[in-house]
Amino acid sequence: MEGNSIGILSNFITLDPANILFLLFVGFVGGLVSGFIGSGGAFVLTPGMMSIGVPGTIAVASNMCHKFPKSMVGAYKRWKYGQVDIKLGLIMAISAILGVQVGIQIQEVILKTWGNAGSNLYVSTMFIIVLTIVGAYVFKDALNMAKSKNAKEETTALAKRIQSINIPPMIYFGKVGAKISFWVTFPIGFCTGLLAATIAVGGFIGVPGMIYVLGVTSTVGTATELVIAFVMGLVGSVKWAMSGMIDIRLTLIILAGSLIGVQIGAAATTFVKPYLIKFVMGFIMLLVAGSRILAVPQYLNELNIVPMEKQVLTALDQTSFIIMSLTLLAGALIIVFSMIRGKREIKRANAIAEVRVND
Amino acid sequence: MKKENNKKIIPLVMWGALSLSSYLMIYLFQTDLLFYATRGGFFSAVPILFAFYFSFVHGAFASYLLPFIGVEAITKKEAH
Repeated sequence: MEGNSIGILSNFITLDPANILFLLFVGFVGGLVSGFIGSGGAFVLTPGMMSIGVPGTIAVASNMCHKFPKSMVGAYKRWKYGQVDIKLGLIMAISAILGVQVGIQIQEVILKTWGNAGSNLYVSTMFIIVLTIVGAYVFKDALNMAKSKNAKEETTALAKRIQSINIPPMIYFGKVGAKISFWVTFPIGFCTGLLAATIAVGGFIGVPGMIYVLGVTSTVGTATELVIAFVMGLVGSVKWAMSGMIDIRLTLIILAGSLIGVQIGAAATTFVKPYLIKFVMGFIMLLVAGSRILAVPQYLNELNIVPMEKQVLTALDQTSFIIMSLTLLAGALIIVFSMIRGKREIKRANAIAEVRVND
Repeated sequence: MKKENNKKIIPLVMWGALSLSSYLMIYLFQTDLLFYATRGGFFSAVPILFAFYFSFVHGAFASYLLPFIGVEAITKKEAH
Protein backbone atom coordinates (compact mmCIF):
# COMPACT_ATOMS: atom_id res chain seq x y z
CA MET A 1 0.00 0.00 0.00
CA GLU A 2 1.13 3.54 -0.74
CA GLY A 3 1.71 5.11 2.62
CA ASN A 4 1.90 8.60 1.11
CA SER A 5 -1.37 8.49 -0.73
CA ILE A 6 -3.16 7.38 2.41
CA GLY A 7 -1.25 10.16 4.14
CA ILE A 8 -3.44 12.65 2.25
CA LEU A 9 -6.35 11.27 4.22
CA SER A 10 -4.41 12.11 7.35
CA ASN A 11 -6.87 10.66 9.85
CA PHE A 12 -6.54 7.14 8.45
CA ILE A 13 -3.77 4.74 9.48
CA THR A 14 -1.44 2.88 7.13
CA LEU A 15 -2.16 -0.83 7.19
CA ASP A 16 0.67 -3.35 7.51
CA PRO A 17 0.45 -7.17 7.84
CA ALA A 18 0.82 -6.99 11.64
CA ASN A 19 -2.07 -4.50 11.90
CA ILE A 20 -4.24 -6.63 9.62
CA LEU A 21 -3.59 -9.82 11.63
CA PHE A 22 -4.26 -7.98 14.88
CA LEU A 23 -7.56 -6.59 13.54
CA LEU A 24 -8.61 -10.04 12.30
CA PHE A 25 -7.93 -11.50 15.75
CA VAL A 26 -9.70 -8.66 17.57
CA GLY A 27 -12.62 -8.95 15.14
CA PHE A 28 -12.90 -12.69 15.76
CA VAL A 29 -12.89 -12.30 19.54
CA GLY A 30 -15.25 -9.31 19.34
CA GLY A 31 -17.64 -11.39 17.26
CA LEU A 32 -17.34 -14.36 19.59
CA VAL A 33 -18.12 -12.22 22.62
CA SER A 34 -20.98 -10.35 20.93
CA GLY A 35 -22.61 -13.54 19.67
CA PHE A 36 -22.38 -14.81 23.25
CA ILE A 37 -23.37 -11.79 25.34
CA GLY A 38 -25.32 -9.79 22.75
CA SER A 39 -23.36 -6.55 22.94
CA GLY A 40 -21.67 -5.27 19.83
CA GLY A 41 -18.30 -6.46 21.01
CA ALA A 42 -17.16 -2.94 20.24
CA PHE A 43 -15.91 -2.52 23.77
CA VAL A 44 -13.29 -4.94 22.56
CA LEU A 45 -12.96 -3.45 19.09
CA THR A 46 -12.92 0.30 19.78
CA PRO A 47 -10.03 0.13 22.29
CA GLY A 48 -8.39 -2.49 20.07
CA MET A 49 -8.38 -0.12 17.10
CA MET A 50 -7.31 2.82 19.23
CA SER A 51 -4.36 0.79 20.51
CA ILE A 52 -2.90 0.62 16.97
CA GLY A 53 -3.29 4.37 16.47
CA VAL A 54 -6.78 4.78 15.01
CA PRO A 55 -8.33 8.04 16.32
CA GLY A 56 -11.32 7.54 18.66
CA THR A 57 -13.97 8.97 16.32
CA ILE A 58 -12.88 6.86 13.35
CA ALA A 59 -12.64 3.76 15.57
CA VAL A 60 -16.23 4.30 16.75
CA ALA A 61 -17.55 5.06 13.24
CA SER A 62 -15.79 2.09 11.59
CA ASN A 63 -17.01 -0.19 14.36
CA MET A 64 -20.57 0.90 13.97
CA CYS A 65 -20.40 0.12 10.25
CA HIS A 66 -19.19 -3.42 10.94
CA LYS A 67 -21.72 -3.89 13.70
CA PHE A 68 -24.96 -3.77 11.73
CA PRO A 69 -24.22 -6.59 9.26
CA LYS A 70 -22.68 -8.69 12.04
CA SER A 71 -25.69 -8.12 14.30
CA MET A 72 -27.98 -9.01 11.42
CA VAL A 73 -26.26 -12.40 11.06
CA GLY A 74 -26.22 -12.93 14.87
CA ALA A 75 -29.88 -11.94 15.30
CA TYR A 76 -30.96 -14.30 12.53
CA LYS A 77 -29.05 -17.19 14.10
CA ARG A 78 -30.49 -16.58 17.56
CA TRP A 79 -34.00 -16.03 16.19
CA LYS A 80 -33.69 -19.55 14.77
CA TYR A 81 -32.88 -20.77 18.31
CA GLY A 82 -36.14 -19.12 19.51
CA GLN A 83 -34.38 -16.52 21.67
CA VAL A 84 -35.42 -13.19 20.08
CA ASP A 85 -38.37 -10.96 21.08
CA ILE A 86 -38.73 -9.11 17.78
CA LYS A 87 -41.41 -6.67 18.98
CA LEU A 88 -39.30 -5.62 21.96
CA GLY A 89 -36.23 -5.37 19.73
CA LEU A 90 -37.92 -3.10 17.18
CA ILE A 91 -39.50 -0.78 19.76
CA MET A 92 -36.20 -0.44 21.61
CA ALA A 93 -34.40 0.09 18.29
CA ILE A 94 -36.64 3.01 17.27
CA SER A 95 -36.02 4.68 20.65
CA ALA A 96 -32.32 3.96 20.27
CA ILE A 97 -32.17 5.72 16.89
CA LEU A 98 -33.11 8.99 18.61
CA GLY A 99 -30.37 8.36 21.17
CA VAL A 100 -27.84 7.75 18.40
CA GLN A 101 -28.65 11.09 16.75
CA VAL A 102 -28.06 12.98 20.00
CA GLY A 103 -24.89 10.97 20.72
CA ILE A 104 -23.35 11.71 17.31
CA GLN A 105 -24.02 15.45 17.70
CA ILE A 106 -22.14 15.41 21.02
CA GLN A 107 -19.21 13.54 19.42
CA GLU A 108 -19.00 16.03 16.54
CA VAL A 109 -18.97 19.04 18.88
CA ILE A 110 -16.19 17.46 20.99
CA LEU A 111 -14.10 16.64 17.92
CA LYS A 112 -14.45 20.16 16.54
CA THR A 113 -13.63 21.81 19.87
CA TRP A 114 -10.84 19.62 21.30
CA GLY A 115 -9.65 17.55 18.31
CA ASN A 116 -8.68 13.85 18.33
CA ALA A 117 -7.14 13.89 21.83
CA GLY A 118 -10.34 15.38 23.27
CA SER A 119 -12.43 12.81 21.44
CA ASN A 120 -10.18 9.97 22.68
CA LEU A 121 -10.43 11.24 26.24
CA TYR A 122 -14.23 11.50 26.02
CA VAL A 123 -14.64 7.98 24.55
CA SER A 124 -12.25 6.46 27.11
CA THR A 125 -13.86 8.25 30.07
CA MET A 126 -17.33 7.08 29.06
CA PHE A 127 -15.98 3.55 28.63
CA ILE A 128 -14.50 3.56 32.13
CA ILE A 129 -17.62 4.97 33.83
CA VAL A 130 -20.14 2.67 32.13
CA LEU A 131 -18.00 -0.47 32.15
CA THR A 132 -17.10 -0.17 35.83
CA ILE A 133 -20.65 0.45 37.06
CA VAL A 134 -22.50 -2.03 34.85
CA GLY A 135 -19.66 -4.60 34.85
CA ALA A 136 -19.55 -4.70 38.66
CA TYR A 137 -23.33 -5.13 38.87
CA VAL A 138 -23.48 -7.89 36.26
CA PHE A 139 -20.46 -9.68 37.78
CA LYS A 140 -21.98 -9.59 41.27
CA ASP A 141 -25.26 -10.93 39.93
CA ALA A 142 -23.47 -13.77 38.10
CA LEU A 143 -21.59 -14.73 41.28
CA ASN A 144 -24.85 -14.74 43.28
CA MET A 145 -26.51 -16.93 40.66
CA ALA A 146 -23.55 -19.32 40.61
CA LYS A 147 -23.61 -19.59 44.44
CA SER A 148 -27.34 -20.22 44.73
CA LYS A 149 -28.33 -23.86 44.29
CA ASN A 150 -30.89 -23.33 41.55
CA ALA A 151 -29.07 -21.59 38.73
CA LYS A 152 -32.40 -20.50 37.24
CA GLU A 153 -32.87 -16.82 36.51
CA GLU A 154 -35.54 -15.03 38.50
CA THR A 155 -37.34 -11.82 37.57
CA THR A 156 -35.86 -9.01 39.67
CA ALA A 157 -37.98 -7.10 42.19
CA LEU A 158 -37.37 -3.95 40.11
CA ALA A 159 -38.70 -5.65 36.95
CA LYS A 160 -41.79 -6.85 38.80
CA ARG A 161 -42.48 -3.31 40.02
CA ILE A 162 -41.88 -1.91 36.51
CA GLN A 163 -44.28 -4.43 34.98
CA SER A 164 -46.98 -3.18 37.37
CA ILE A 165 -46.69 0.41 36.03
CA ASN A 166 -49.75 1.15 33.93
CA ILE A 167 -49.17 4.20 31.72
CA PRO A 168 -50.55 3.76 28.19
CA PRO A 169 -49.55 2.69 25.64
CA MET A 170 -49.04 -0.73 27.26
CA ILE A 171 -47.39 -3.33 25.02
CA TYR A 172 -47.41 -7.11 25.46
CA PHE A 173 -44.06 -8.82 24.97
CA GLY A 174 -44.24 -12.57 24.37
CA LYS A 175 -40.80 -13.44 25.74
CA VAL A 176 -41.38 -11.36 28.90
CA GLY A 177 -44.87 -12.76 29.29
CA ALA A 178 -46.22 -9.40 30.52
CA LYS A 179 -47.45 -5.99 29.38
CA ILE A 180 -44.92 -3.17 29.80
CA SER A 181 -45.48 0.56 29.36
CA PHE A 182 -43.85 2.20 26.31
CA TRP A 183 -42.60 4.90 28.70
CA VAL A 184 -40.41 2.30 30.40
CA THR A 185 -38.92 0.79 27.24
CA PHE A 186 -38.33 4.20 25.61
CA PRO A 187 -35.70 5.59 28.05
CA ILE A 188 -33.79 2.28 28.05
CA GLY A 189 -33.78 2.31 24.24
CA PHE A 190 -32.79 6.00 24.09
CA CYS A 191 -29.85 5.53 26.49
CA THR A 192 -28.78 2.44 24.54
CA GLY A 193 -28.55 4.57 21.39
CA LEU A 194 -26.83 7.44 23.15
CA LEU A 195 -24.16 5.11 24.49
CA ALA A 196 -23.81 3.35 21.15
CA ALA A 197 -23.00 6.62 19.39
CA THR A 198 -20.49 7.42 22.10
CA ILE A 199 -18.55 4.19 22.54
CA ALA A 200 -20.08 2.14 19.69
CA VAL A 201 -21.64 -0.31 22.10
CA GLY A 202 -25.08 0.34 23.49
CA GLY A 203 -25.53 -3.21 24.76
CA PHE A 204 -24.04 -2.28 28.11
CA ILE A 205 -27.22 -0.38 28.86
CA GLY A 206 -29.62 -2.28 26.60
CA VAL A 207 -28.89 -5.82 27.83
CA PRO A 208 -28.78 -5.15 31.60
CA GLY A 209 -31.76 -2.78 31.12
CA MET A 210 -33.83 -5.52 29.52
CA ILE A 211 -32.75 -8.13 32.10
CA TYR A 212 -32.96 -6.11 35.33
CA VAL A 213 -35.62 -3.50 34.46
CA LEU A 214 -37.91 -5.25 31.96
CA GLY A 215 -37.43 -8.75 33.37
CA VAL A 216 -36.36 -10.83 30.34
CA THR A 217 -33.92 -13.73 30.75
CA SER A 218 -30.26 -13.13 29.91
CA THR A 219 -30.59 -15.41 26.87
CA VAL A 220 -33.53 -13.43 25.45
CA GLY A 221 -31.97 -10.09 26.46
CA THR A 222 -28.68 -10.76 24.73
CA ALA A 223 -30.45 -12.12 21.63
CA THR A 224 -32.92 -9.20 21.36
CA GLU A 225 -30.05 -6.74 21.72
CA LEU A 226 -28.76 -7.98 18.36
CA VAL A 227 -31.96 -6.72 16.66
CA ILE A 228 -31.49 -3.31 18.30
CA ALA A 229 -27.83 -3.30 17.32
CA PHE A 230 -28.69 -4.01 13.69
CA VAL A 231 -31.27 -1.22 13.26
CA MET A 232 -29.31 1.28 15.29
CA GLY A 233 -26.01 0.36 13.67
CA LEU A 234 -27.43 0.84 10.18
CA VAL A 235 -28.87 4.29 10.93
CA GLY A 236 -25.74 5.36 12.84
CA SER A 237 -23.45 4.16 10.06
CA VAL A 238 -25.30 6.20 7.45
CA LYS A 239 -24.83 9.27 9.65
CA TRP A 240 -21.12 8.57 10.21
CA ALA A 241 -20.67 7.88 6.48
CA MET A 242 -22.12 11.33 5.72
CA SER A 243 -19.32 12.85 7.80
CA GLY A 244 -16.75 10.65 6.00
CA MET A 245 -15.54 9.10 9.26
CA ILE A 246 -15.75 5.40 8.34
CA ASP A 247 -12.47 3.67 7.49
CA ILE A 248 -14.10 0.95 5.39
CA ARG A 249 -10.83 -1.07 5.23
CA LEU A 250 -10.86 -1.50 9.03
CA THR A 251 -14.60 -2.26 8.96
CA LEU A 252 -14.17 -5.06 6.43
CA ILE A 253 -11.12 -6.63 8.11
CA ILE A 254 -12.92 -6.75 11.43
CA LEU A 255 -16.01 -8.15 9.71
CA ALA A 256 -13.92 -11.04 8.32
CA GLY A 257 -13.08 -12.22 11.84
CA SER A 258 -16.29 -11.28 13.57
CA LEU A 259 -18.72 -12.98 11.17
CA ILE A 260 -17.10 -16.30 12.06
CA GLY A 261 -16.82 -15.41 15.75
CA VAL A 262 -20.45 -14.27 16.10
CA GLN A 263 -21.81 -17.58 14.84
CA ILE A 264 -19.61 -19.59 17.21
CA GLY A 265 -20.64 -17.29 20.10
CA ALA A 266 -24.35 -17.65 19.26
CA ALA A 267 -24.06 -21.44 19.12
CA ALA A 268 -22.19 -21.43 22.44
CA THR A 269 -25.17 -19.84 24.26
CA THR A 270 -27.16 -23.01 23.71
CA PHE A 271 -24.61 -25.06 25.69
CA VAL A 272 -24.12 -23.01 28.84
CA LYS A 273 -26.03 -22.00 31.98
CA PRO A 274 -27.33 -18.38 31.97
CA TYR A 275 -25.04 -17.25 34.80
CA LEU A 276 -22.00 -18.01 32.67
CA ILE A 277 -23.18 -15.48 30.06
CA LYS A 278 -23.38 -12.84 32.80
CA PHE A 279 -20.06 -13.92 34.31
CA VAL A 280 -18.22 -13.52 30.99
CA MET A 281 -19.94 -10.19 30.35
CA GLY A 282 -19.01 -8.74 33.76
CA PHE A 283 -15.47 -10.15 33.66
CA ILE A 284 -14.67 -8.61 30.28
CA MET A 285 -16.32 -5.27 31.12
CA LEU A 286 -14.30 -4.80 34.30
CA LEU A 287 -10.95 -5.73 32.78
CA VAL A 288 -11.45 -3.58 29.68
CA ALA A 289 -12.32 -0.67 32.00
CA GLY A 290 -9.03 -1.26 33.84
CA SER A 291 -7.14 -1.27 30.57
CA ARG A 292 -8.74 2.01 29.46
CA ILE A 293 -7.88 3.73 32.77
CA LEU A 294 -4.19 3.26 31.93
CA ALA A 295 -4.70 4.95 28.53
CA VAL A 296 -6.19 8.14 29.98
CA PRO A 297 -2.91 9.83 31.09
CA GLN A 298 -1.74 9.86 27.45
CA TYR A 299 -4.80 11.84 26.33
CA LEU A 300 -4.50 14.20 29.32
CA ASN A 301 -0.88 14.80 28.28
CA GLU A 302 -1.87 15.48 24.64
CA LEU A 303 -4.39 18.05 25.83
CA ASN A 304 -1.70 19.62 28.09
CA ILE A 305 -3.89 19.05 31.14
CA VAL A 306 -1.42 16.75 32.94
CA PRO A 307 2.07 16.81 31.32
CA MET A 308 3.91 13.48 31.80
CA GLU A 309 7.24 11.84 30.90
CA LYS A 310 7.23 10.05 27.55
CA GLN A 311 8.71 6.86 29.06
CA VAL A 312 5.94 6.66 31.66
CA LEU A 313 3.29 7.15 28.97
CA THR A 314 4.81 4.42 26.78
CA ALA A 315 4.89 2.00 29.74
CA LEU A 316 1.25 2.77 30.61
CA ASP A 317 0.21 2.40 26.98
CA GLN A 318 1.92 -0.99 26.65
CA THR A 319 0.45 -2.25 29.93
CA SER A 320 -3.02 -1.14 28.80
CA PHE A 321 -2.57 -3.02 25.52
CA ILE A 322 -1.34 -6.21 27.27
CA ILE A 323 -4.24 -6.20 29.76
CA MET A 324 -6.75 -5.80 26.96
CA SER A 325 -5.22 -8.55 24.81
CA LEU A 326 -5.14 -10.99 27.76
CA THR A 327 -8.75 -10.12 28.62
CA LEU A 328 -9.85 -10.88 25.08
CA LEU A 329 -7.97 -14.12 25.05
CA ALA A 330 -9.40 -15.17 28.42
CA GLY A 331 -12.96 -14.25 27.34
CA ALA A 332 -12.59 -16.22 24.12
CA LEU A 333 -11.14 -19.23 25.94
CA ILE A 334 -13.97 -19.24 28.52
CA ILE A 335 -16.58 -19.24 25.73
CA VAL A 336 -14.86 -21.92 23.63
CA PHE A 337 -14.11 -24.21 26.60
CA SER A 338 -17.60 -23.91 28.06
CA MET A 339 -18.99 -24.84 24.66
CA ILE A 340 -16.72 -27.90 24.47
CA ARG A 341 -17.66 -28.87 28.06
CA GLY A 342 -21.37 -28.37 27.35
CA LYS A 343 -21.10 -30.53 24.25
CA ARG A 344 -19.34 -33.26 26.22
CA GLU A 345 -22.00 -33.18 28.98
CA ILE A 346 -24.81 -33.52 26.44
CA LYS A 347 -23.01 -36.47 24.82
CA ARG A 348 -22.55 -38.13 28.22
CA ALA A 349 -26.21 -37.58 29.15
CA ASN A 350 -27.31 -39.04 25.83
CA ALA A 351 -25.06 -42.06 26.32
CA ILE A 352 -26.51 -42.69 29.81
CA ALA A 353 -30.06 -42.32 28.47
CA GLU A 354 -29.26 -44.79 25.71
CA VAL A 355 -27.89 -47.35 28.19
CA ARG A 356 -31.07 -47.01 30.32
CA VAL A 357 -33.30 -47.50 27.28
CA ASN A 358 -31.34 -50.63 26.29
CA ASP A 359 -31.59 -52.01 29.86
CA MET B 1 -21.71 -40.41 2.02
CA LYS B 2 -19.14 -39.08 -0.41
CA LYS B 3 -21.86 -37.29 -2.35
CA GLU B 4 -23.12 -35.64 0.86
CA ASN B 5 -19.63 -34.42 1.70
CA ASN B 6 -19.25 -32.99 -1.79
CA LYS B 7 -22.54 -31.14 -1.36
CA LYS B 8 -21.11 -29.45 1.71
CA ILE B 9 -17.63 -28.80 0.34
CA ILE B 10 -18.55 -27.27 -3.03
CA PRO B 11 -20.51 -24.25 -1.66
CA LEU B 12 -17.90 -23.84 1.10
CA VAL B 13 -15.08 -23.60 -1.44
CA MET B 14 -17.11 -21.36 -3.80
CA TRP B 15 -18.14 -18.85 -1.13
CA GLY B 16 -14.62 -19.01 0.33
CA ALA B 17 -13.05 -18.22 -3.03
CA LEU B 18 -15.47 -15.34 -3.67
CA SER B 19 -14.83 -13.91 -0.21
CA LEU B 20 -11.06 -14.21 -0.51
CA SER B 21 -10.96 -12.62 -3.97
CA SER B 22 -13.20 -9.76 -2.77
CA TYR B 23 -10.84 -9.11 0.14
CA LEU B 24 -7.87 -9.20 -2.23
CA MET B 25 -9.51 -6.51 -4.38
CA ILE B 26 -10.03 -4.35 -1.30
CA TYR B 27 -6.36 -4.71 -0.39
CA LEU B 28 -5.20 -3.79 -3.90
CA PHE B 29 -7.53 -0.81 -4.35
CA GLN B 30 -7.69 0.38 -0.76
CA THR B 31 -6.52 3.94 -1.45
CA ASP B 32 -9.21 4.59 -4.07
CA LEU B 33 -11.85 2.87 -1.97
CA LEU B 34 -11.01 4.92 1.09
CA PHE B 35 -11.04 8.11 -0.97
CA TYR B 36 -14.56 7.53 -2.27
CA ALA B 37 -15.92 5.99 0.95
CA THR B 38 -15.02 9.08 2.96
CA ARG B 39 -16.38 11.74 0.59
CA GLY B 40 -19.76 11.90 2.32
CA GLY B 41 -23.04 12.91 0.62
CA PHE B 42 -24.09 10.52 -2.13
CA PHE B 43 -20.89 8.52 -1.55
CA SER B 44 -22.10 7.60 1.97
CA ALA B 45 -23.71 4.60 0.32
CA VAL B 46 -20.25 3.19 -0.53
CA PRO B 47 -19.23 1.95 2.96
CA ILE B 48 -22.79 0.76 3.69
CA LEU B 49 -23.06 -1.25 0.48
CA PHE B 50 -19.57 -2.72 0.93
CA ALA B 51 -20.44 -3.76 4.50
CA PHE B 52 -23.64 -5.46 3.24
CA TYR B 53 -21.86 -7.17 0.36
CA PHE B 54 -19.08 -8.57 2.55
CA SER B 55 -21.45 -9.66 5.30
CA PHE B 56 -23.46 -11.59 2.73
CA VAL B 57 -20.54 -13.24 0.96
CA HIS B 58 -18.28 -13.80 3.95
CA GLY B 59 -21.28 -14.64 6.19
CA ALA B 60 -22.35 -17.36 3.74
CA PHE B 61 -18.81 -18.72 3.77
CA ALA B 62 -18.82 -18.74 7.60
CA SER B 63 -22.22 -20.51 7.66
CA TYR B 64 -20.83 -23.36 5.58
CA LEU B 65 -17.48 -23.39 7.38
CA LEU B 66 -18.73 -23.77 10.95
CA PRO B 67 -20.85 -26.94 10.61
CA PHE B 68 -18.00 -28.32 8.51
CA ILE B 69 -15.58 -27.96 11.44
CA GLY B 70 -18.20 -29.24 13.93
CA VAL B 71 -19.47 -25.96 15.43
CA GLU B 72 -23.25 -26.12 15.62
CA ALA B 73 -25.90 -25.41 18.22
CA ILE B 74 -27.10 -28.83 19.37
CA THR B 75 -30.27 -27.83 21.18
CA LYS B 76 -32.73 -25.40 19.64
CA LYS B 77 -34.19 -24.40 22.94
CA GLU B 78 -37.05 -22.05 23.68
CA ALA B 79 -35.43 -19.68 26.16
CA HIS B 80 -38.52 -18.31 27.76
